Amino acid sequence: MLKRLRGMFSTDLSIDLGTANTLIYIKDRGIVLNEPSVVAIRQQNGQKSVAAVGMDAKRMLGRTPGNITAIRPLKDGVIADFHVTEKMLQHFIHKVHENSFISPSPRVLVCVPCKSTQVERKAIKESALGAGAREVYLIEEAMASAIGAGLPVEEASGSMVVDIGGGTTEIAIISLNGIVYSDSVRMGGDKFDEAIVTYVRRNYGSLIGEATAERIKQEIGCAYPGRELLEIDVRGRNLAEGIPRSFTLNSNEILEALQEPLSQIVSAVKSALEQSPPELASDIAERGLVLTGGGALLRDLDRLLAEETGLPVIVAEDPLTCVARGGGKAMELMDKRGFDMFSVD
Amino acid sequence: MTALPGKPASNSVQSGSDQLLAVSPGEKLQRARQARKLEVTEMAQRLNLSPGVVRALEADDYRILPNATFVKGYLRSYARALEINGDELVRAYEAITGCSEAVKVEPIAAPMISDTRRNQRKVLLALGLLVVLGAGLWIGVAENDPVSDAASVDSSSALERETGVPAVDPVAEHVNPPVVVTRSQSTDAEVIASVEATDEPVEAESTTVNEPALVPVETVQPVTDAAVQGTVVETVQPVPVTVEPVVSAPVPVAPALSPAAEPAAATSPATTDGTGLVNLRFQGECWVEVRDRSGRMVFSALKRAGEEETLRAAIPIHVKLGNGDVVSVRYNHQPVNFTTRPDRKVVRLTLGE
Repeated sequence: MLKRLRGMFSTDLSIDLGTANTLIYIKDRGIVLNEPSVVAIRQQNGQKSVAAVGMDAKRMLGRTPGNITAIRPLKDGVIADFHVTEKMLQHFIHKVHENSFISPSPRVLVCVPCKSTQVERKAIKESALGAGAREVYLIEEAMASAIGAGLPVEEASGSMVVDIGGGTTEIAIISLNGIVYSDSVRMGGDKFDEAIVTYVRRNYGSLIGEATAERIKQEIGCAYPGRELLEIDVRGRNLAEGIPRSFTLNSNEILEALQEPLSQIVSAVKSALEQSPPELASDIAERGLVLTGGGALLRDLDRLLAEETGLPVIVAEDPLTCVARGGGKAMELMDKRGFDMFSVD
Repeated sequence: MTALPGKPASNSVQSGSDQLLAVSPGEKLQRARQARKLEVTEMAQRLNLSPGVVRALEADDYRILPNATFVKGYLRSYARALEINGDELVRAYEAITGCSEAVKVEPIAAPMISDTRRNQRKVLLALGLLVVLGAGLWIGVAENDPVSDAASVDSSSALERETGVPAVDPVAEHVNPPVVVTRSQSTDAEVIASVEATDEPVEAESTTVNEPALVPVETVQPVTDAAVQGTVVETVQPVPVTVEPVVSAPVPVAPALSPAAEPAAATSPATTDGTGLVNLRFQGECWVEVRDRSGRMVFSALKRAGEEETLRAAIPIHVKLGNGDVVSVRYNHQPVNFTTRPDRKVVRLTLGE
């Protein structure tokens, strides 16, 4: 009863609870929150308390004193630390209801990886309820990203979407508001960063942090050899000497570093195409496949996939927010046509 | 293949469009391709598209192309292959077709949103009404409280009696109450008469004072409220002088009233101008608050035993006593009876309602 009353003062939220970033979409307002999924926990006198959430906490990653731990509560697209995820969601829900004088209790739609287990989905649902949500609906990330990218999911024709997130890559073939084929590989932006860290350690004998690796990926990372060679100056701790050293990396080196994770994504896409029904495969061959998620921003990833599959490959508009926007649109559709339309348990 | 609704046919660029449309996206692509001496088929092979799609892009014939997401992707891929700015082409395409991302974000349920908001407003309105009703009920219950009830009844009964009891204190001396009532009502009638004949108010007053005991109850004429107030003034006035001189003494106005030259209505303790006289005697320590009709605080103090306070204020006068057991209240020289509960000493009185 009280939740319903509070619900009247809350707005419906679509949450892309991602491994790397959490995005919240509100209908009529668009994306209202885009923050890293990081929480800094302070431990004092045996008691744990939240020191920072989101961007503030991300700045602390790898730079914390003994009593503060900056952690990422999601791993591979699912919850790794239930309580911290709950705290983080609670913080974000309150943040988007800053002007509300009553504690918010919104209806929430959360996107989950299509290959997540019942236990993992239950954990996400409970976590959102614990964070103050009135009702929680789950939708598969691939479906949300397809809707967000503007694909004609309701038509009787196949649409293929590849959503490359921080922890997972979701591949789905969609037709008539349903998923015909879906696959989820635990490969995403985080694995790209790890691959860069490993490459630098192996080739330069230096250790760099994940934040630095992410910066390298964003600035000079590419998936296909280009004409221009990009370079970046990086500082890391030399493992042999034990002191910080500066060195320069170029885009070809990063391409080499990313070969392993990229090949896994390519093979997953090929596998999906192999298993798609012929009629839908024909539609996909004619129109192409669409890339969404933060990973789609990796330079020339579409060219790599186009080269490997022989299909037109398109990067969606604003790929980073496709899932959250699609979740919001799905919620509106579900409001209209019933909540069993897209939601999964 | 899906056609965009309302999409213009090839080369049907609107004349009102901006500079972006001076050269359409298709035309720009075609020129760039021809400048590089590339064939359509060659270009289609590079882009993994069919030659028909490439031709449609170059001809700006979007009807045979899939929806906007794909067309924008094709335009960007084509532009990148020819090393020209793809974003410009996409903007030009959006200008032609009118499908921008901003429109796409919330296309579905605008009417439903407004419905929801309207419903929310209704619910809020209902809640507001409930709150108002609840407050009304609460106030009603508070008014029915035994203490305040007794006080208000007493005060109202005192008010009813006030007109005819100039000199009688029921506690101190019970001087023939029936006569008192009779006299009061008769005096009311007399006063009305005297007000009507304004030539000699003092004489009229004197007659009213003399007559009451003589006029039988049956002869009493009905008197209006206003008249009652007026009569209170007239009849009460002599009392302070005769029976309770102590009460009238502190009131500065009262002594001035005695001269017969003054109009009685203007000089009596309770006047026709809607004010009343309250007298409080304290037998013990007690805090007191007195508010007038407008809710303005007229008097507020902590009084000790033996102290007394007389004040005049616009009626109804709201009196709040911290310890009702130790205070005797008089309203227009008429004692006000009230009771206190053992567990609740605070008393609220409304005088002159």
